[in-house]
Amino acid sequence: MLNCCYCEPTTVAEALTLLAEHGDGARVVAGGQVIALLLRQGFIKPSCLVSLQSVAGLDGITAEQRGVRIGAMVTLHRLGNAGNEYPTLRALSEAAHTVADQHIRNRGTLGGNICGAHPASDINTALMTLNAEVTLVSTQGERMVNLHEFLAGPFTTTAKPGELLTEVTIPGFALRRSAAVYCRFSPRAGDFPVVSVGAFVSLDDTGQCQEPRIVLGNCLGAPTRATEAEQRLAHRNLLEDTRSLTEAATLAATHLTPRSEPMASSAYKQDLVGVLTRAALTEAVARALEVRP
Amino acid sequence: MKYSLSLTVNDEQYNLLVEASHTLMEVIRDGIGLTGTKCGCEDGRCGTCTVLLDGELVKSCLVLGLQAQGKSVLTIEGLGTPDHLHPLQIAFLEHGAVQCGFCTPGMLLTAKKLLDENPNPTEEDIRHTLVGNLCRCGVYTHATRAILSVARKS
Repeated sequence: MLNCCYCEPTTVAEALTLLAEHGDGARVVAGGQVIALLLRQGFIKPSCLVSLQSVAGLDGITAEQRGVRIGAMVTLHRLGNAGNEYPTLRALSEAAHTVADQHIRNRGTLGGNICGAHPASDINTALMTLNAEVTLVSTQGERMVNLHEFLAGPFTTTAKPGELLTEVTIPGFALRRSAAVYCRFSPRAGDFPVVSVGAFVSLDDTGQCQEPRIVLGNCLGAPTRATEAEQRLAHRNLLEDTRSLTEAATLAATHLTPRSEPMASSAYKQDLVGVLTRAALTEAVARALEVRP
Repeated sequence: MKYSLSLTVNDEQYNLLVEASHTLMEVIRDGIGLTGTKCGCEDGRCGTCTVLLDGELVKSCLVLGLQAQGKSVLTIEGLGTPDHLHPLQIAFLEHGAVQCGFCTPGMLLTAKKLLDENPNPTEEDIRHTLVGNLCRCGVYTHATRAILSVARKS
């Protein structure tokens, strides 16, 4: 029997004190959809479970000058609808809507999904597409880290003991004609994606693409930017040069050697990357053009 | 380390001592003795342990018992009784939507929640909602028809 204590702090400060006291032995429980599983499977043996369910102020969504701030305890169900109110979150909502099933989306949280750091996390792939930053708080202070630097590999993050992820910031789009799209493939609904792709394009007044982002999910240990494919799109006029979308998709497919799995070989995943990248980019350009310049 | 847990299950108040790592499913089955909530995969895939927690669909194997402190749970035992079956239970029997029956409690609670929120679901709505409830006998088509029939009657 696991000798473990359970605490339900009501403020962030109390939670941080508990995390500092227990150090490596503490595990944060957000929605519990990952922790309950890890506990049962014996992958973790914490000395203290710190539940966030009674901590006030971690479930807000607010639009501010620097972007949309989303509290770590916002559920995936709520996130699935947030795109209607906050247009920059549309791709994130698409991703949230595909996670597992209704039961799990009701409990699963944004922060929990990020920190679980599953290589196939729909949320992390979509968040990286949106260039999200996470806020980490500890008794020592607060820091903001780009999600790209936060995710260190499969099921691993760069969070230090005692740090708590409290919120995520999605920066506003610099150009009006900008859009992100999230595409994924899984043979059965409710499964993790075999491969997923997030695409972000931003078009200036002439149609030239600025700072594109293409993120590949479940290919390596953490979502990965397809940098060569991005470079192929940068400064191209996507209204005139539509071939560049196909070329970028081809480059994305050959950018890396995806980890093979029992149900999906590396070559199969590469094919999927090509197809999904083409689809995501085409839709992203179409969406960007819907926005009035 | 054991903690005291008070929760309401099917409108009855329970006070129990539970370990921090005990799941709500273990509390319901082993602590309270209501075994209608099934223990299937225990990793959140199959949905046989589905219950309503404060009116929300959850998989009770993925909720820690202590997370249900002060909350209200509805299990299959609270949906209907052998003498007074819930209309969904009657429809499942009439449409042959039960083979081995292991997935049925979870599927019925998912169906109840669906009809509570959307009294006129399409077949597509029903299929989409049942994503989290696996049936290895394959009664999906029958279950879908059963749920549709209840929606049409009400």
